[in-house]
Amino acid sequence: MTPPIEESLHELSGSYAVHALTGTELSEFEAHLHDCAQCREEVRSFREALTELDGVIEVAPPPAVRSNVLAAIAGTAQLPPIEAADGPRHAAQLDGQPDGQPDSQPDSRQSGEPDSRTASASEDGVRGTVAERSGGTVADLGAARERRERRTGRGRAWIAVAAAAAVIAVGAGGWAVNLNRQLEQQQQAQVAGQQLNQRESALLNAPDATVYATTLNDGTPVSYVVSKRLNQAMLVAADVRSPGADRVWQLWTVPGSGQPVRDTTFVAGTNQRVFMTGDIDRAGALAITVERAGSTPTAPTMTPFAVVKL
Amino acid sequence: MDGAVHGGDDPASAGSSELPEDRPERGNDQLAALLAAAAEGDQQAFAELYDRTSARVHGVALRVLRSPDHAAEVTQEVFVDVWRQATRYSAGRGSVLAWITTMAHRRAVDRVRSVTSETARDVKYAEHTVEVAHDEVWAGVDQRLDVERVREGMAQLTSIQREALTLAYFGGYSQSQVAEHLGVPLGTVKTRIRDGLSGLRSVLGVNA
Repeated sequence: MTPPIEESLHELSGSYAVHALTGTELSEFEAHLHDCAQCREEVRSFREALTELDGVIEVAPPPAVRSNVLAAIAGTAQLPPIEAADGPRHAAQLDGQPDGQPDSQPDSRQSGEPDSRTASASEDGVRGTVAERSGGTVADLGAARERRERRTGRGRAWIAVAAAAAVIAVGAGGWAVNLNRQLEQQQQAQVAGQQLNQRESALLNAPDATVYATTLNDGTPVSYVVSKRLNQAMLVAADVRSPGADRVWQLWTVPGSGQPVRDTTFVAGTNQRVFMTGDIDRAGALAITVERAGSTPTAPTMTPFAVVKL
Repeated sequence: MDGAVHGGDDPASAGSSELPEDRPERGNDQLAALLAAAAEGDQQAFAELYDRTSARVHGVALRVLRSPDHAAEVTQEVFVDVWRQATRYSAGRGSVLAWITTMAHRRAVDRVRSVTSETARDVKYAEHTVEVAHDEVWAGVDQRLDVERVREGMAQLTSIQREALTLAYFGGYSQSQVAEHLGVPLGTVKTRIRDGLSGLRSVLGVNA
């Protein structure tokens, strides 16, 4: 008699921990980890043991690696902390998380993180604990509150730490050539080749039209095309993935001296050109968050990303 | 905030690239504090995290890939990932070092499988992996432990378990490939790897 599926799945914990699982067994075991605390714990302990083992074979890398890494991170955006839009937080933590992330596709962009929508109840708790343990990193309650506000988007600090967006001015006349070249560089080649409607052409033809390149929180390259003179902006993206079940990508405009104002939403799709509905001429910044579909948040429920200062 | 992430004035920890082995929890606290600071964009904290962990990451990559060029590239990729995903680490998943070295091992294995053809990783390659690991890795484990624990512990890790573990972990072979190389059923390989890891866990005193 064949053993129950659950039993035979437990056997895979060792192979999983050493990355010797492939194909359907790998995906079945990863799904199993969602539900099996015992296996998660076992994998965790195996990995600690392997890390200890690795201590025996340490070899310092050449100095060039250090400089390359530090140079690279200076221009690399960081994923925002996981925040649930609403509802209960899930305590379950997928031990395989580091594997589920794009390190398995090193040369391609950030793939979707299907499990990252499961908010971890301990995320903020851990950071608080770590801060305490490191002996006074949180100097006062004010700093802690600012950090919390920053994470929930209620504070304004996140605008100041917006990832640097590549700004490319699009001059009048010849915009098509410039835009094509620029969008190609931003891996938007498919979009550049598409037909544009009148409204899109008008925006791109505007004398002050400016293209800002940035990324969604899953690494997808997107661009804003903005003309303050026309009071128009649109999001351009070659290939957008779903932000998760029952979730949408939510655009925001940020007036110079106020709180973010909810704008339009978009979902998965290719060759996207999404016009924003709010006031662009007075906007100080544009941003995106992930929100629950059908909800009408008055403020971002997570730290915004794809933030560009206009 | 500058001084806090370094965990105080303990000279043993300041600027040291080695974790104090007798106090692993303290070492992890320090790494976690650095990672938390890096998660908020602190590049200096990240640089220190790099200094404390890069040898381990690079050592794993080098062992699996054998090529210094590939190992250097993978090390770079891993740390850029650590920076990008710094907010995603949480203590419930285990130590910071385990989080980072797991990412390193995964990337190294993915790369060795994609850049090395099946024929290039033949029987001789596999045997060499096991031999070298025996001399350079497992012997090193012995030396780190006191004699009593070794006698106790190593009995829990038989040579065939070590062999399967070595091929999978350091050789980057899939479990099917290990089974094929050793000429044993797949189920046997799964058990050897899992039991080997349980044994290793005991030997190294990791909380089960």
